[in-house]
Amino acid sequence: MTFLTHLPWTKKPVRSETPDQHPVVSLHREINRMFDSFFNDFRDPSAEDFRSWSGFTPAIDVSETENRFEVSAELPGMTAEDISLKVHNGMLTLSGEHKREEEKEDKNYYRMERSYGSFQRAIPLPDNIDEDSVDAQFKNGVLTVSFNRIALPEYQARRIEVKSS
Amino acid sequence: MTTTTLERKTNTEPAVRPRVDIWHATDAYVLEIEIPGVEEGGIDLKAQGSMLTLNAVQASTDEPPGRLVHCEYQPQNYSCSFNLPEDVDSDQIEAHLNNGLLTLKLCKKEKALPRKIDVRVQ
Repeated sequence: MTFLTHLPWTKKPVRSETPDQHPVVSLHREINRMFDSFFNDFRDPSAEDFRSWSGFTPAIDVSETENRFEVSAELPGMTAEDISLKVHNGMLTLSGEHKREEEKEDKNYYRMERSYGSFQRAIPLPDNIDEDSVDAQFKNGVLTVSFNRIALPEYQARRIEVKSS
Repeated sequence: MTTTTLERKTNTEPAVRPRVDIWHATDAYVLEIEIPGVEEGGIDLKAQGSMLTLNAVQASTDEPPGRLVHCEYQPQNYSCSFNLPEDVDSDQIEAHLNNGLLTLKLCKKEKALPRKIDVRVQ
Protein backbone atom coordinates (compact mmCIF):
# COMPACT_ATOMS: atom_id res chain seq x y z
CA MET A 1 0.00 0.00 0.00
CA THR A 2 1.40 3.38 -0.87
CA PHE A 3 1.15 6.58 1.06
CA LEU A 4 -1.39 7.91 -1.42
CA THR A 5 -4.05 5.65 -0.01
CA HIS A 6 -3.79 7.35 3.39
CA LEU A 7 -4.75 10.69 1.98
CA PRO A 8 -8.51 10.98 1.86
CA TRP A 9 -8.53 13.96 -0.51
CA THR A 10 -6.38 12.51 -3.23
CA LYS A 11 -9.21 10.87 -5.05
CA LYS A 12 -8.03 10.60 -8.61
CA PRO A 13 -10.20 8.78 -11.09
CA VAL A 14 -8.20 5.99 -12.63
CA ARG A 15 -8.99 5.66 -16.28
CA SER A 16 -7.82 3.08 -18.71
CA GLU A 17 -5.85 4.56 -21.55
CA THR A 18 -6.90 2.16 -24.26
CA PRO A 19 -7.63 3.71 -27.66
CA ASP A 20 -11.28 4.21 -28.34
CA GLN A 21 -12.70 1.92 -30.93
CA HIS A 22 -15.89 3.76 -31.69
CA PRO A 23 -16.95 7.45 -31.60
CA VAL A 24 -19.91 6.54 -29.38
CA VAL A 25 -17.54 4.91 -26.90
CA SER A 26 -15.35 7.98 -26.80
CA LEU A 27 -18.34 10.27 -26.38
CA HIS A 28 -19.56 8.11 -23.54
CA ARG A 29 -16.12 8.34 -21.94
CA GLU A 30 -15.99 12.07 -22.38
CA ILE A 31 -19.35 12.47 -20.63
CA ASN A 32 -18.16 10.22 -17.80
CA ARG A 33 -15.04 12.32 -17.50
CA MET A 34 -17.10 15.52 -17.28
CA PHE A 35 -19.22 14.03 -14.52
CA ASP A 36 -16.11 12.86 -12.72
CA SER A 37 -14.50 16.25 -12.78
CA PHE A 38 -17.75 17.99 -11.85
CA PHE A 39 -18.21 15.93 -8.71
CA ASN A 40 -14.53 16.03 -7.92
CA ASP A 41 -14.85 19.77 -7.51
CA PHE A 42 -16.94 19.12 -4.44
CA ARG A 43 -15.28 16.06 -3.08
CA ASP A 44 -11.69 16.81 -3.87
CA PRO A 45 -10.78 19.98 -2.02
CA SER A 46 -7.15 19.83 -3.10
CA ALA A 47 -4.87 22.64 -4.12
CA GLU A 48 -6.63 25.39 -6.04
CA ASP A 49 -10.22 24.51 -5.18
CA PHE A 50 -9.38 24.35 -1.53
CA ARG A 51 -7.50 27.60 -1.61
CA SER A 52 -10.28 29.47 -3.30
CA TRP A 53 -12.71 29.03 -0.44
CA SER A 54 -10.48 29.21 2.61
CA GLY A 55 -8.32 32.22 3.39
CA PHE A 56 -4.88 30.75 3.13
CA THR A 57 -3.89 27.14 2.63
CA PRO A 58 -0.28 26.46 1.76
CA ALA A 59 0.31 24.00 -1.05
CA ILE A 60 2.18 20.86 -0.05
CA ASP A 61 4.16 18.21 -1.88
CA VAL A 62 4.95 14.81 -0.40
CA SER A 63 7.77 12.71 -1.75
CA GLU A 64 9.79 9.71 -0.69
CA THR A 65 13.15 8.18 -1.52
CA GLU A 66 14.54 4.89 -0.39
CA ASN A 67 15.41 6.18 3.06
CA ARG A 68 13.76 9.61 3.37
CA PHE A 69 10.17 10.75 3.60
CA GLU A 70 9.65 14.41 2.87
CA VAL A 71 6.81 16.91 3.15
CA SER A 72 7.36 20.37 1.71
CA ALA A 73 5.12 23.42 1.85
CA GLU A 74 5.20 26.75 0.06
CA LEU A 75 5.07 29.61 2.55
CA PRO A 76 6.48 32.64 0.72
CA GLY A 77 6.93 35.78 2.76
CA MET A 78 6.58 34.02 6.10
CA THR A 79 9.24 33.57 8.76
CA ALA A 80 10.14 30.46 10.72
CA GLU A 81 8.57 32.04 13.81
CA ASP A 82 5.18 32.18 12.09
CA ILE A 83 5.17 28.43 11.56
CA SER A 84 4.27 25.73 14.06
CA LEU A 85 4.87 22.02 13.47
CA LYS A 86 3.68 19.05 15.49
CA VAL A 87 4.04 15.32 15.15
CA HIS A 88 1.52 13.31 17.10
CA ASN A 89 -0.12 9.93 16.64
CA GLY A 90 1.11 9.48 13.11
CA MET A 91 -0.03 12.95 12.03
CA LEU A 92 2.13 15.88 11.04
CA THR A 93 0.30 19.12 11.76
CA LEU A 94 1.45 22.31 10.14
CA SER A 95 -0.15 25.50 11.33
CA GLY A 96 0.54 29.18 11.55
CA GLU A 97 -0.56 32.57 10.52
CA HIS A 98 0.38 34.59 7.50
CA LYS A 99 0.10 38.10 8.78
CA ARG A 100 -0.42 41.04 6.55
CA GLU A 101 1.96 43.87 7.26
CA GLU A 102 0.51 46.66 9.29
CA GLU A 103 -1.95 48.62 7.27
CA LYS A 104 -0.66 51.93 6.16
CA GLU A 105 -3.22 54.55 5.48
CA ASP A 106 -1.83 55.50 2.12
CA LYS A 107 -1.66 51.95 0.75
CA ASN A 108 -3.73 51.89 -2.39
CA TYR A 109 -4.03 48.43 -3.87
CA TYR A 110 -4.06 47.72 -7.59
CA ARG A 111 -3.80 43.98 -7.30
CA MET A 112 -4.21 41.64 -4.36
CA GLU A 113 -3.44 38.04 -5.23
CA ARG A 114 -1.55 36.88 -2.19
CA SER A 115 -3.49 35.24 0.62
CA TYR A 116 -3.25 35.87 4.32
CA GLY A 117 -4.69 34.41 7.47
CA SER A 118 -4.41 31.41 9.74
CA PHE A 119 -3.98 27.96 8.37
CA GLN A 120 -3.71 24.39 9.53
CA ARG A 121 -2.95 21.28 7.57
CA ALA A 122 -2.69 17.74 8.91
CA ILE A 123 -0.69 15.25 6.93
CA PRO A 124 -1.03 11.56 7.82
CA LEU A 125 2.36 9.88 8.10
CA PRO A 126 3.07 6.37 6.93
CA ASP A 127 4.02 3.62 9.41
CA ASN A 128 7.51 3.06 8.09
CA ILE A 129 9.09 6.29 9.33
CA ASP A 130 10.93 7.23 12.48
CA GLU A 131 8.98 10.12 14.02
CA ASP A 132 11.93 11.07 16.23
CA SER A 133 14.17 11.65 13.23
CA VAL A 134 12.11 14.64 12.11
CA ASP A 135 14.05 17.56 10.69
CA ALA A 136 12.50 20.81 9.50
CA GLN A 137 14.17 23.48 7.38
CA PHE A 138 12.73 26.76 6.15
CA LYS A 139 14.56 28.19 3.17
CA ASN A 140 13.52 30.69 0.51
CA GLY A 141 9.91 30.48 1.58
CA VAL A 142 9.76 26.69 1.35
CA LEU A 143 9.38 24.53 4.46
CA THR A 144 10.82 21.04 4.18
CA VAL A 145 10.06 18.46 6.85
CA SER A 146 11.86 15.17 6.47
CA PHE A 147 11.87 11.86 8.29
CA ASN A 148 14.07 8.77 8.11
CA ARG A 149 12.30 5.75 6.75
CA ILE A 150 12.68 2.52 8.66
CA ALA A 151 12.17 -1.04 7.64
CA LEU A 152 9.09 -2.61 9.15
CA PRO A 153 9.28 -6.22 10.30
CA GLU A 154 7.94 -8.47 7.65
CA TYR A 155 4.85 -10.32 8.60
CA GLN A 156 4.75 -13.91 7.53
CA ALA A 157 1.46 -15.25 6.36
CA ARG A 158 0.26 -17.88 8.78
CA ARG A 159 -1.81 -20.79 7.73
CA ILE A 160 -4.83 -21.29 9.91
CA GLU A 161 -6.33 -24.63 10.25
CA VAL A 162 -10.06 -24.85 9.72
CA LYS A 163 -11.64 -27.29 12.06
CA SER A 164 -14.79 -29.06 11.28
CA SER A 165 -17.00 -30.32 14.07
CA MET B 1 -4.07 -1.05 -6.07
CA THR B 2 -3.49 1.25 -9.00
CA THR B 3 -2.32 4.79 -8.46
CA THR B 4 -1.89 7.52 -10.99
CA THR B 5 1.77 8.26 -11.57
CA LEU B 6 2.86 11.70 -10.51
CA GLU B 7 5.35 13.06 -12.96
CA ARG B 8 8.01 15.46 -11.87
CA LYS B 9 8.32 18.64 -13.82
CA THR B 10 11.57 19.36 -15.57
CA ASN B 11 13.35 22.68 -15.72
CA THR B 12 12.22 23.15 -19.31
CA GLU B 13 8.58 23.49 -18.27
CA PRO B 14 7.13 26.91 -19.11
CA ALA B 15 7.31 29.35 -16.24
CA VAL B 16 4.18 30.36 -14.40
CA ARG B 17 3.03 33.81 -13.42
CA PRO B 18 3.59 34.34 -9.69
CA ARG B 19 1.01 35.79 -7.31
CA VAL B 20 1.51 39.50 -6.91
CA ASP B 21 0.27 42.27 -4.67
CA ILE B 22 0.66 45.76 -6.07
CA TRP B 23 0.00 48.91 -4.15
CA HIS B 24 1.15 52.47 -4.22
CA ALA B 25 1.92 55.02 -1.60
CA THR B 26 2.73 58.68 -1.96
CA ASP B 27 6.34 58.21 -2.96
CA ALA B 28 6.50 54.76 -4.54
CA TYR B 29 4.80 51.77 -6.08
CA VAL B 30 5.39 48.46 -4.31
CA LEU B 31 5.19 45.02 -5.89
CA GLU B 32 5.23 41.96 -3.65
CA ILE B 33 5.91 38.90 -5.75
CA GLU B 34 5.76 35.32 -4.40
CA ILE B 35 8.59 33.21 -5.79
CA PRO B 36 9.06 30.44 -3.20
CA GLY B 37 12.16 28.29 -3.64
CA VAL B 38 14.05 30.79 -5.79
CA GLU B 39 17.44 31.98 -4.59
CA GLU B 40 18.95 35.40 -5.17
CA GLY B 41 21.09 34.10 -8.04
CA GLY B 42 18.07 32.76 -9.88
CA ILE B 43 16.47 36.15 -10.29
CA ASP B 44 16.73 38.11 -13.52
CA LEU B 45 15.05 41.48 -13.25
CA LYS B 46 15.15 43.93 -16.13
CA ALA B 47 13.72 47.38 -16.68
CA GLN B 48 13.71 48.22 -20.36
CA GLY B 49 11.85 51.29 -21.51
CA SER B 50 8.54 51.16 -19.77
CA MET B 51 8.67 47.37 -19.29
CA LEU B 52 9.76 45.61 -16.14
CA THR B 53 10.43 41.91 -16.68
CA LEU B 54 11.10 39.27 -14.06
CA ASN B 55 12.39 35.77 -14.69
CA ALA B 56 13.00 33.60 -11.66
CA VAL B 57 14.55 30.17 -11.95
CA GLN B 58 14.62 27.48 -9.26
CA ALA B 59 18.06 26.52 -7.99
CA SER B 60 19.09 23.10 -9.14
CA THR B 61 19.94 20.64 -6.39
CA ASP B 62 22.45 17.81 -6.41
CA GLU B 63 20.11 15.50 -4.56
CA PRO B 64 18.01 13.37 -6.82
CA PRO B 65 14.34 14.18 -6.26
CA GLY B 66 12.29 11.55 -4.53
CA ARG B 67 9.21 9.88 -5.87
CA LEU B 68 6.22 12.20 -5.56
CA VAL B 69 3.34 10.69 -3.65
CA HIS B 70 1.20 13.79 -3.26
CA CYS B 71 1.57 16.90 -5.35
CA GLU B 72 0.04 20.34 -5.11
CA TYR B 73 2.71 22.72 -6.33
CA GLN B 74 6.14 21.34 -7.38
CA PRO B 75 8.99 23.85 -7.56
CA GLN B 76 8.46 25.96 -10.65
CA ASN B 77 10.04 28.82 -12.50
CA TYR B 78 8.32 32.17 -12.54
CA SER B 79 7.98 34.82 -15.17
CA CYS B 80 6.03 38.05 -15.37
CA SER B 81 6.23 41.55 -16.78
CA PHE B 82 4.70 44.84 -15.85
CA ASN B 83 4.13 48.12 -17.62
CA LEU B 84 5.80 50.82 -15.62
CA PRO B 85 3.69 53.89 -14.94
CA GLU B 86 5.05 57.09 -16.43
CA ASP B 87 5.88 58.61 -13.08
CA VAL B 88 8.31 55.85 -12.11
CA ASP B 89 12.00 56.55 -12.08
CA SER B 90 13.37 53.35 -13.65
CA ASP B 91 16.84 54.06 -12.25
CA GLN B 92 15.45 53.93 -8.75
CA ILE B 93 14.07 50.45 -8.39
CA GLU B 94 14.89 48.64 -5.18
CA ALA B 95 14.55 44.87 -4.95
CA HIS B 96 14.66 42.74 -1.81
CA LEU B 97 14.29 38.99 -1.58
CA ASN B 98 13.13 37.66 1.75
CA ASN B 99 11.88 34.11 2.38
CA GLY B 100 10.60 33.61 -1.14
CA LEU B 101 8.99 37.01 -1.37
CA LEU B 102 10.47 39.52 -3.80
CA THR B 103 9.60 43.09 -2.90
CA LEU B 104 10.15 45.73 -5.54
CA LYS B 105 9.97 49.37 -4.64
CA LEU B 106 9.54 51.59 -7.64
CA CYS B 107 10.27 55.12 -6.57
CA LYS B 108 8.27 57.86 -8.19
CA LYS B 109 10.03 60.61 -10.10
CA GLU B 110 10.66 63.66 -8.03
CA LYS B 111 8.47 65.68 -10.37
CA ALA B 112 5.58 63.38 -9.64
CA LEU B 113 5.79 63.77 -5.89
CA PRO B 114 3.40 66.16 -4.24
CA ARG B 115 5.06 69.47 -3.54
CA LYS B 116 4.24 71.81 -0.81
CA ILE B 117 3.72 75.28 -2.13
CA ASP B 118 4.33 78.11 0.20
CA VAL B 119 1.71 80.74 0.19
CA ARG B 120 3.13 84.13 0.64
CA VAL B 121 1.09 86.78 2.27
CA GLN B 122 1.59 90.20 0.88
